[in-house]
Amino acid sequence: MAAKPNLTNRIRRLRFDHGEMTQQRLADRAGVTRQTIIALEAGRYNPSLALAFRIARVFGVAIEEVFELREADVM
Amino acid sequence: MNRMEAKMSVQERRAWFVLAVAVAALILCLVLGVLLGYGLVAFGGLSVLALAAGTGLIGWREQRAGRVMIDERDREIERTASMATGAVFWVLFVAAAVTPSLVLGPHAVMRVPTAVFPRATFVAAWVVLLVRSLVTIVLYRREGHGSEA
Repeated sequence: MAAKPNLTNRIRRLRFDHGEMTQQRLADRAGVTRQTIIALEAGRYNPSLALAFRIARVFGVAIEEVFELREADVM
Repeated sequence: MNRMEAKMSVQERRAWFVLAVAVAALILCLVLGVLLGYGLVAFGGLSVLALAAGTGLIGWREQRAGRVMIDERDREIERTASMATGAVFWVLFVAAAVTPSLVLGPHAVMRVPTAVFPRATFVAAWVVLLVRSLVTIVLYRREGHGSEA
C-alpha cells in the first residue's frame, strides 16, 4: 500500500508575509473553514489539489511555493 | 464568535449535539424503565432521538455571516463516519438476524411481543446516531484543534 503523502507547507509563514492575514480571512478566501486551515498548518491534513491551488492563488504564488512533497515519499 | 465556535467546526459541534441527544435518550430510557417498566420505554427514547433533527440549527451564525460551513475535510470525515456506522450497523443487524436460529435451532418457533419492534427500532437508531457522532468526534480530535494566529 502506498504511504500517505507527506506534504509540508508554508501557509503560516505566507500568512504573516501577507500582512499577518488571519486564519479566518485565508479560510474565507480559499473557501474552507478556519479549522481546516488550522489542520493544514499543523500538517494534520493533506488538501485536495483544487484546495492547494486555491490557497496558492490567495497568496499569489505558485503551488510549489506553498506545498512541498518530502523526497522520501516520492521514491 | 464564542470559544466553542472558534475551536470546533460546524460539523464537529453537530456531532457533539447528536452524541448528547443519544446519551440523553439512553438515560431517559433507563429512568423510565425503572419507574414505569420497560414495556413502552422505546417510545420515549425515540421521541428524544428525534431531537437530533435540531442539528440543522447549529451553524446559523456562520451561515448568516456567509462563511463556509462544511468543506472538503468535513465531507471526508463525514464519509468515513458513514462507512464506519454502516459497518457497525451491518454487523449488529446480521448478528441479530442469525442469533435466534443459532441459539434456539433453525426450526424453533418464537412468540415475539409487539413491544420488541419499537425497541429494536430505537436500538438501531441509537446505534447509528451514537457510532456516527463518536467516529466523527474522534476523527476531528485526531486532527487537533490548534489555535488562532
